[in-house]
Amino acid sequence: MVLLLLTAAAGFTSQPAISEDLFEDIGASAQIAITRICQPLQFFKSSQAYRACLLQQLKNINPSAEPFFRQLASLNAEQGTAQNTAASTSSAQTQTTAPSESNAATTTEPATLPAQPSQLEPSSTPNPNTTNDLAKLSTTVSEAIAPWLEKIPGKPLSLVLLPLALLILLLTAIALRLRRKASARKRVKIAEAKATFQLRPDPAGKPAKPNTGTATRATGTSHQESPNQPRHPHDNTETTNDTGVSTGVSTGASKGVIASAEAETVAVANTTTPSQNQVSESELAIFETSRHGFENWLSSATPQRRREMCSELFILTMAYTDNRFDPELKKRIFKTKERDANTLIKRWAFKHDSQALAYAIRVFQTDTNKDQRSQFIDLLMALLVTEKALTPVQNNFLRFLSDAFGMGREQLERQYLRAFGEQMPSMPRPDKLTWWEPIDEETLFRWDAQSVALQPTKIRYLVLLGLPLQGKLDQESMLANYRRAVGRCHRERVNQLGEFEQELLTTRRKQFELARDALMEITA
Amino acid sequence: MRNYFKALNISSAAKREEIAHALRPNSDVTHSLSEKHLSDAQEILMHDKRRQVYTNNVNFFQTLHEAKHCLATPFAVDTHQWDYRLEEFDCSEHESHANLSDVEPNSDVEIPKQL
Repeated sequence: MVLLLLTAAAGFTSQPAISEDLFEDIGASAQIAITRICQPLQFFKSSQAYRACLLQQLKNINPSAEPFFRQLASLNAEQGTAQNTAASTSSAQTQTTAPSESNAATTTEPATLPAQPSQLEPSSTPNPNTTNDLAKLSTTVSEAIAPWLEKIPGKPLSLVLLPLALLILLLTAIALRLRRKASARKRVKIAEAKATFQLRPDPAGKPAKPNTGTATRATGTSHQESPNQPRHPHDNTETTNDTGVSTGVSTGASKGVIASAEAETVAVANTTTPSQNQVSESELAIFETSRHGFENWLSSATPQRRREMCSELFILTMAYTDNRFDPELKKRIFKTKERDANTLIKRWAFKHDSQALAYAIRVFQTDTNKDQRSQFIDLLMALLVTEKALTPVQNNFLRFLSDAFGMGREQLERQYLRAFGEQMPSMPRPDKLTWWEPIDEETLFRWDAQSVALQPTKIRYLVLLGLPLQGKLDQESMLANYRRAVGRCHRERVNQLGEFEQELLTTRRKQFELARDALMEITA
Repeated sequence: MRNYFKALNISSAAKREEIAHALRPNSDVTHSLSEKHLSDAQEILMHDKRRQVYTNNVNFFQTLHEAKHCLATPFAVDTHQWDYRLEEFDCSEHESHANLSDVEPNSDVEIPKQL
């Protein structure tokens, strides 16, 4: 059906700028014949361009037809122009060989072609032989055209099916939208349920619920959250102790909260961090004793993987420097004996390893092009920056990277404006009291990701979408902010990067969708 | 940006009491700050939330100071005068600026045998 629609649409829009010389050459009789053959196409009958197109197409599809037109033109030139009556005779014969649509349209011909006979008035008496020749030629021509007529877009059948196809498409779109809404509601309910009830980990050490972002895994004698397992950003009440026994619902104390501030952003990276299967055992060795450990660790990695690891280091560094992590996670990362890539990168990020950061910058300077570096800045903004909450660290980090990436201040600020619809705040000066004066308590709260992570769902979603925390929630503002946030998460915005970065955006987008759905229900 | 921690000769992980001690009048270290800067330091460092934000930036600037050589490559530009902004954040004579006081690094990690 879609194909049919596309074909019809192509037919309607394919009136080309084709020369009509060929049509003019063939003589009045053949013009009438062609016109009559095209009779079923009521809406095209007066279009010279269409007839020219028809002939051109005929030439392309059936090259043997063109000589008939040439011969017809030659006859016209030698024996005079054919009479209108001869043309009518030939076209009448044409009707017998034309497709059924042509026959059906014959009755309307006088009304639909009123001007043709007068325009093609002959200047001499018709020659019977010529008339017969014309009749034969027209028949032949019609036979040549007939197969192509089957392919003509906009045939009556198409016209009948077009509204039907549109109707079916409309119904399908509505059904998909309803299904998507239902699915979103279900996700919200699941998220709420997870926030209330503790999932008990599998004693065997396997994820309690694979691929849900709530998995926990035993490591040695302790039960720890696996850094390689995706974690749902709102599973902030899931806690386990060192014996692997679920401790139930968190009381809200920072110690028990796993999701934490990191969940809002950095957990995004966890979902698609390359798994251990992608990293050899030697790559997983600890390089902590080396000043250039990160560089050494990645020395044997492929360029793509190296870039991905550097991307993750940037993301984690930007997040952790702002304390966007669970304090318990930090302890576990330095306590665990795990040596997977995710754990190692977290360590480098927690340690503010300047050499690792410098190496990551060098990798981007040498292994990426200008577009990729620009898109990575977009990625950082989309993943870590929330509206009305660009922290001083984020501001500085973006500015430093923009310079290191060769973009500079102006391009960065343009990209920020495009992403958030407002000017990027000037370079922060948190060492000056005057700089702090316009910073209110709400802004300080938005910057404090760990405090935000401890808030009820609604507050976290309001912060996520940059909405006012007090007063009645304006649905229009919410949707506007949501659209802007989702706009930052289009995979196309990082299409010069890789699947890894695109998946990060997709996961981030889902967080915004979850927030929108939840807030929609609140405002409904 | 001014590095008050360095001027006061205290760690960026210093507790409130330690900061207050360093900021007290006639302290041995406050002479390195002008009256204006000392006033600002008191208002910022003695305010818990401001101090947290400020400390995050100090730690980050220390990291950037060590990584700023990346700006000396032909790929890079310097539209923010980083040398000027980072001049007070050289911590090469100090230990790591990362606050790892709350963690106990695992000592028995493997030393890599293969790079």
